[in-house]
Amino acid sequence: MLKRYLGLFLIAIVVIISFLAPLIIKHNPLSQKFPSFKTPTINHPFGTDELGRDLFSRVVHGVRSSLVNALFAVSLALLAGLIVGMVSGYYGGFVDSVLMRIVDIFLAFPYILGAIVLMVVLKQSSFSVSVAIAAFLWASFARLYRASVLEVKEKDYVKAAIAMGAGDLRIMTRHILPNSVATLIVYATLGVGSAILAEAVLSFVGLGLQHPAPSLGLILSDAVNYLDRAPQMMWFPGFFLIILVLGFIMCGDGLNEYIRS
Amino acid sequence: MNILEVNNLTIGINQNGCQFEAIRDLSFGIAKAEVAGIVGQSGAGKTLTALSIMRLLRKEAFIKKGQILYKGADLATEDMAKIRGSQIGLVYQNPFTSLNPAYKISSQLLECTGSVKEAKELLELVGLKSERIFDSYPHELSGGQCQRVCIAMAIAKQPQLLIADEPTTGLDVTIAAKIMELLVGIAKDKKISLILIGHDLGIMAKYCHRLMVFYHGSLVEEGSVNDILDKPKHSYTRKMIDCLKKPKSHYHPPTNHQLPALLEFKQVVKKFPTRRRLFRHHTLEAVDNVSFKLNEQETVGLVGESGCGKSTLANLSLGLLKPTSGDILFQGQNINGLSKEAKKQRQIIFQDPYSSLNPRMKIKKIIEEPLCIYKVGDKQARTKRVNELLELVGIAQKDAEKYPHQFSTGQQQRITIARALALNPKLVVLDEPTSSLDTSIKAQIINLLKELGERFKMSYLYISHDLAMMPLIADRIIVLYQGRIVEQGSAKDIFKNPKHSYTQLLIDSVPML
Repeated sequence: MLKRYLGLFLIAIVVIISFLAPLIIKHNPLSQKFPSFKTPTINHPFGTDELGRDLFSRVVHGVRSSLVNALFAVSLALLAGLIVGMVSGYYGGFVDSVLMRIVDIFLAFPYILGAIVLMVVLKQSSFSVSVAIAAFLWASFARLYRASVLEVKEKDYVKAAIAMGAGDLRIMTRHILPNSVATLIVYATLGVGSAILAEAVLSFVGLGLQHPAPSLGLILSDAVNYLDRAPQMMWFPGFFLIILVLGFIMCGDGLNEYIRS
Repeated sequence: MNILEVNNLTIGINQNGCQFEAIRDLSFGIAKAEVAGIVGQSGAGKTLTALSIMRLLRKEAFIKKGQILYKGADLATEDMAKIRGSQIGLVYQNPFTSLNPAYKISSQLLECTGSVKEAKELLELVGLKSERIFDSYPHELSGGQCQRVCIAMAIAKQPQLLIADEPTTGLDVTIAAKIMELLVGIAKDKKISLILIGHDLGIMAKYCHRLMVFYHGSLVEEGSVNDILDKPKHSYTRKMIDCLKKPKSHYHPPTNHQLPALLEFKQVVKKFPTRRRLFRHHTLEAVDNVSFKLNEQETVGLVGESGCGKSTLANLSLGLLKPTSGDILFQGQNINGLSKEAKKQRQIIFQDPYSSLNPRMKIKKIIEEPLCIYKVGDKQARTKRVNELLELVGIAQKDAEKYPHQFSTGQQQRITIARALALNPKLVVLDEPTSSLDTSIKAQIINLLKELGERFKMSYLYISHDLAMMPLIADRIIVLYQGRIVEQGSAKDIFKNPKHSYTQLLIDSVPML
């Protein structure tokens, strides 16, 4: 119970800061008009970077794009996982075997390595980052959801609906979906956390968002070169990244406890 | 002196922050070597009483006041680890879940006894061939065998008091009778006091010396079996006795048999693959060459033990399964090529009402669903029909906005009946519609079904393992044994002169007064 609310609280703080704070501190995250490597002051709460850009604005905009990209990637993966898992679990047999072998192939790739390979191939944009992350996230969603569908499929109310003459689509959407989706939602919440991390990793290695876009991964990769002169370039984006990921993971864990009780 | 004394026991339960009393001011005593029965419907506090004696209450439940004395000593101050098993034994309700599936019977028995020899003697005592059972895992045994092992474990340390909490629920009638005989026999031989807990007054009356009737957490009546059966004081006891008496005296009057056949099975065989090997396919013949007819406005009862193919027949008759060979005709048409109009005419009511209602749908939506599927009427007409149906089965219209879990099991079964009736079906398959209900509610549901069946001229295929309820509703009875029909005839004939030995066995195990 506490976990769920603490998780929501952490996410809420980060979201509020990243959407409301720019109304007070109105620096352009791209403008290079300040002196470089300034230590934090009232006007620049996080200091500035090597090109004289306000670090606070960059971090805050980076959090925003991280959140948007991760949520978009998870939604894509959720949709694909839901459809594949439902079809696979409900129809079974040959369809199930084929779909699950495809899932196996995707699961065999290490998640981030697979996304890196895909990013090399795709045109680099924030949309393709989301697609690359979703491409390797949906498979585990599909596998997990198939298991809950298999469980609910055996319930008497599903049999009753079949005996009534209900069509497949009706049984899937009215009877199976509402009773099986809870575990997937939990898993997706946890997935948002790992998608945020994945996006940061991709940008960090230079395959995600590109300069000069503000992104937590990019700021961190710049920070590596100036760790001795400007450690604030590592501390602040790193801190925000940790809080955000922790928030989603705690939220998922808490939800999991809630639906199990 | 009584071996067990319960004085003014009140048990409270904390639930979602509020507290209520599940058992109020309960007092009774158990004498040495007597067999005492506790009867009552579910939720009456029977199991709670057993658990409070063993001090095994869950943390939400607590003893509010009163005391439990075993041989004069208050159990609250005793070291229960020394009492459980060696002084008081407990046999649980579900034999399958009370044995650990990961260990062989031998190692589970050896936890209670010291030596292999003793363990084998115990198995012999409960009527099991020790060699084979000893090396088996629980899943390799039948329900009856598992329960025998549980009994062996409960008596291993020679307790002086044995509590059996519904020891035969989930077992077939014929096996249930044997388990009861075994328990009572052991109690008699070893001079153990036995507390039997059950909801079936008929069975309890047969095996107990003394009965205690529980109703809503209180002991409403107590006395010798004969006193209670002859002069019941409480209205609930009278209701239970009435339920038991009916089958013997009133047979359902046979209806007109000139009507055409509605459902016809022609030499139907259904095989299930069990194990697949490279060159051989093992199959299980769940239904073996079954032929019968169900006429319009007729009710046919299908009896047999679990695993005899009853549910397979139910699924076959609705087209949920396809027969391996043979034909199933509905209104003269093969069941595989039925028109939508004909499919509307068949409905099913399942054993467990709660699991057959979608927990995320409101009652209104559940009952409306068949109408939506077949696009009957507009929204207003459908709402009107739902209200009509609710009234028919005796559920208040204001409850239409509630969810299934807000109803009692009996009410839930009424809701599934309403749903089945929505499309005015000709045939309703009743797959053990009363077996998860309490005795007093069973009769209500059967009467409701009977009344609705006559009013709307429906045929029922009534499937059950309980022969006792059959004569109340069935015109004809078909006895199924290991996938074959061994006997069929009118309810009266079957009861008066059964021909097959299995039918005889079934009738013998029916508790009737």
